[in-house]
Parts: sequence; structure tokens; C-alpha cells
Amino acid sequence: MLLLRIGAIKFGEFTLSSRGKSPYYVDLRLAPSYPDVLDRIGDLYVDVVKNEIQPNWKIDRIAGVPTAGLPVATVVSQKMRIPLIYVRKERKDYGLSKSIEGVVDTNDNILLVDDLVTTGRSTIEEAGILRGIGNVKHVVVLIDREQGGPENLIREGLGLHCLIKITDVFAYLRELGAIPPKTYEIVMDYVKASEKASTQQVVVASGTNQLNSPKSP
Amino acid sequence: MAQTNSTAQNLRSTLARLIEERALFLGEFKSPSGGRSDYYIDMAMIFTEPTSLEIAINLTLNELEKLSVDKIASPSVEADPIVAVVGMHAKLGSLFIHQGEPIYAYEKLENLLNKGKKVVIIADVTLSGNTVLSTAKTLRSAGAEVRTAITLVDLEKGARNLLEGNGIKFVPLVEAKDISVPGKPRKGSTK
Repeated sequence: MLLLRIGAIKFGEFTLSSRGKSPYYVDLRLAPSYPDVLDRIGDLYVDVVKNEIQPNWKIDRIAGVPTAGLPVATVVSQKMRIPLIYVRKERKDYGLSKSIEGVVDTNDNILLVDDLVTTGRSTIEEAGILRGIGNVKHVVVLIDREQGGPENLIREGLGLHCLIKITDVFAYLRELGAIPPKTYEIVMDYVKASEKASTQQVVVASGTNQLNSPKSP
Repeated sequence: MAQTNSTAQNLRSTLARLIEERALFLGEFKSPSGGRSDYYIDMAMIFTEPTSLEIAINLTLNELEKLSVDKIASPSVEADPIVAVVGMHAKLGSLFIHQGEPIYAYEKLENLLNKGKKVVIIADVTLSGNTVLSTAKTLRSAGAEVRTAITLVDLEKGARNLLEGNGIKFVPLVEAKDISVPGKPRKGSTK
């Protein structure tokens, strides 16, 4: 509901960065425009990290993903007092021209904090870069768009911890009458169809180590 | 989190020392807008470490308290971390305008400004001030009032003149003269 109020979830027709079309769009870059929402979301991340990850895994660094995921990763880093690192999207040709910001040691345990997971493709890429520096086993996101993300991540040895599943968000919004039944049907059909398509696609593409990571609830 | 003047002064010199220790790199550097410097300050080294981030947050909050402000804005990815956490602590919304363009996919800047139009830009490092100016222009064309820009570090390469010439009060928290670069002793004392 918080997300709808601030316009972070919109319904209509949208083109995603993966070129696909979607009947809804989530833009968490809007969250910092509402400081109470950013604070609350930051606390939710911290809870999940403390309950699901820290009991079994010591975290040395929190990795944020610019641009959408960097503000919330900074908030989590500050709340938990764990140093932040981030990989620059484009190598800048000014300043220091380096691609990793922050201080990190080989063999540091790095927790990847991002805004959302769709098929997991971009998360896997990001984790791949970070694995060139340290250990990456867990990913925390606010929203799982349920398009094959958790399954695809597990196959790469990455446990996904999500705060909310998108279909739960839709069900909640329908219950409140915040979205019409027709919209609900359209978005639910879309999630189902794209989940199937995405897991089938990526099965062919990957075939690496399995890991017994805790799955998100 | 109000600080007395002397506490603020202490924080300034603490931040300057932290910058010298962690964030100062030697060599010739170019800024995205064409400014040049024979050393470079990488504020990511400050913002990624919780203790030094907190000092930067407190100093920035201290300046914001003196101003009438509805929202704060980041002019670049480098400034996003400090802007996001300062916004959260100051209970002010943060806007992200990178290289003069808003980063939002399906939201108009005008809509984000409808509950208050006084925007203060917060930069990490300023050289010529061009990036901050183009951010101010974008915000102004969306209806914002931009009267102040805070920068964590000003390398004194023209930002003050450029911004003040465009009606923007310029507030550097640390200036080049506060930082001692090896082979280039700090000029005079901190103000």
C-alpha cells in the first residue's frame, strides 16, 4: 500500500529494460522522495537480514546496485553499520576510472542488496562481478516479481530473500479495492505466463552448482 | 541533531582529516564537465564507511537546519548515498537528477515537487560547478525554487562564482584550502 501511495507501483502498459512489455511497473527510485517510506523499507531489509542471514553468515560488506538500489543499500549499510560497496554501472572516464567504490578485501562476505528481482538475470550478472572480489551467497530484495528469479538464483548458488512477493501485493490491493478486478486478473495472468517462460529459458542457459541456501519465505 | 558552531567546526576538520586519509588520490583528474585538478577526492570512500558517513550526515544536517527547505536533490550517482540518508534523517524527500536528467521512468518531476518547491542540491565534490548548475536548471524548469547548493568538498575550481552568478547560494562544508595534499601544504588556517 505504501508503494501504491507513493506511485512506485503503476498499472498500464510498460516496456521493461529487458525489452518485454509489462502491465505493471515498480519503480523504487521513488521511495527516497518519501523519507518515512525509505526509513520503513530500510527497517524491513534490516529485519530480514538479521533473521534470515546473519545467524548463519557473517556479513563484511553490503553491496548496492546503482542507480535504483543504491539509496536503499546505503540506508541498510548505515542502519546496520556495515560498510557499503557498489559497482559503477559505467566506467567513468573522469576521476579515478575505477569500477568498484568502497573498500573490500578478498574473501569478504558480501551481501547483495537490490530493489527487485524479475528473472534474476541482472542480479546474477551483478553477483558475478562481486564474486571476482569476495564471497556472494545471499541476495536481499524488496520485491520478487515472481518471474523465475528465486529458481534461477538458486541454480547460481544464490539464496534470494525477498520482503514481499508481487502477487501478494496484488492480492492485498484487490482486497482493499485499490485496483479493479480486471486489472488484478491481467497482472496475475501476466506473472503466471512470464514465470513459466523465464524458468524454461534460463534452464537452457545455465547449469552451474546447486547450493542448499535457505529459500525466501 | 543541532550542533553548536564549535562542534560543527570540529566536525568539519574531522571530515577534512578523514578525506586526507581515505579519499584523497594524487594524479591529474578531469571532472565530467571538463574541470581539471592535480588531485582528486573520492567521496565514495567517505560515504561507504558508516563512521565517516555519519560525520558527513551530521555536518550536512547542521547546514540544512539553517535553511527553509522542502526537498533535497542529488546531481550525480556519487552523491546519491549521502542525499538518501540525509533525506531520511532530516525527514525530507530526496530527488535524484543525474547529469541534468531526472532518473524516474514514469514519474514527472513536477509531481514530486507538488508538496513543496524549495529544493537544496547536495553535491559530493564540486570543481567547476557545471553539474550542479545543470541540475538546478532541470529542477527550476520543473517549477522548483533552487536557492542553495551544499557541497561536501569544493575544490575551488570556479563553482562558487558560477553558482552564485546564477542565484544559488554556495555552501561548501570542506574546501580545498582545508585539505593538505602531500607536496602542497594546506593554505592558512581553516576558517
